[in-house]
Amino acid sequence: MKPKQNTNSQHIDQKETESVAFNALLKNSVGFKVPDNYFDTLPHIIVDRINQQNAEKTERKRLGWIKAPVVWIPALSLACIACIFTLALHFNRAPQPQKIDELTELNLNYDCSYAEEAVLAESLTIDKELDKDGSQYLLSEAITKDSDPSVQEMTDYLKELDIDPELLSQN
Amino acid sequence: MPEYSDIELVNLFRDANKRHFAFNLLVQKYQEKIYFFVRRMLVDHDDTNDVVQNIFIKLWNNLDTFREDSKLFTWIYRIAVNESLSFLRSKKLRSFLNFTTPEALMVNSMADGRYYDGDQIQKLLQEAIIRLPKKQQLVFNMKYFDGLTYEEMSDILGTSVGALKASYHFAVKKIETYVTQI
Repeated sequence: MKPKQNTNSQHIDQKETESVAFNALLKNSVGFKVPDNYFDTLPHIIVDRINQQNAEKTERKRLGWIKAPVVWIPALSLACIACIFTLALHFNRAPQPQKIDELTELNLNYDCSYAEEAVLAESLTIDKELDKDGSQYLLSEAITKDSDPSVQEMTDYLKELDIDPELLSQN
Repeated sequence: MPEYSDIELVNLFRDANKRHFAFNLLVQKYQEKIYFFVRRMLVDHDDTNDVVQNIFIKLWNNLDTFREDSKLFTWIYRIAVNESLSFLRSKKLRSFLNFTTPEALMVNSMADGRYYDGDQIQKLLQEAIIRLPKKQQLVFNMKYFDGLTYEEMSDILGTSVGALKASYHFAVKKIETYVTQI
């Protein structure tokens, strides 16, 4: 029995020794380096951050009223009403006849001037053709003679247009 | 400079004229403890720097509401735990998008040597600690490195003493296994 006990106690002693050595090793195991003067400057760094934080808080308090619902809800409502009013005015505008008349007038003027130019060009062309083949004499002779249509000629012309000649006699 | 107790510092802080003075003293009193606590969780100095600043800014914003039903350092540790865990959660998401793990990033951070000068054994042990589940890692760090009692840890983490003892026991076993296997 005794030898067994001795083995057991030796085993326990060995374990304790290892444990003590292990603990000693652990206690010394730090190894973490710190920058020079770190702990001298740390309080100042922290105080600076706190001052900065307080300054930001003060600024937020100063402008905080802008965020108050009592202010921005009415402001937002007014802005919405103004937008709706503006849009309503824009889409409900009556048409402007003056502009339409102006456009029409311009077009007519343009058409008239174009027609005048066309007639002028045509008459110049006719004159040139007449000059070419010497028919001017014939034309002038035709103009001086009876150029007004007779009654029969007028009646025939009206019948061609399906207009009743008797309408002309009615007053 | 006279030493002020936590209660005195809180009372000084509540006086608007002495607020900055009290806060400076608080930062000087707890900055190293909080820094290394966070550093052991996050490993990287730059990440730790950001989180530590956030912790003290939260302290400034909320110290007025401190009810004194727990100790001040317990309250500060609680803030530090929450900030560290939420940072690790966001880091986990970012590393997932980059097809890596936060643990791998931490190991790389140690390896580049910029802010780590431990020897091979120390690196091995730190890797083992990094690989622990986060809660277990917290318990191990707080018990072993910060020397907190189970009751204090229970106050900070809101976990029972028994669960904390079990958590610490398993953490030690895992670290031993990792170190001896490699």
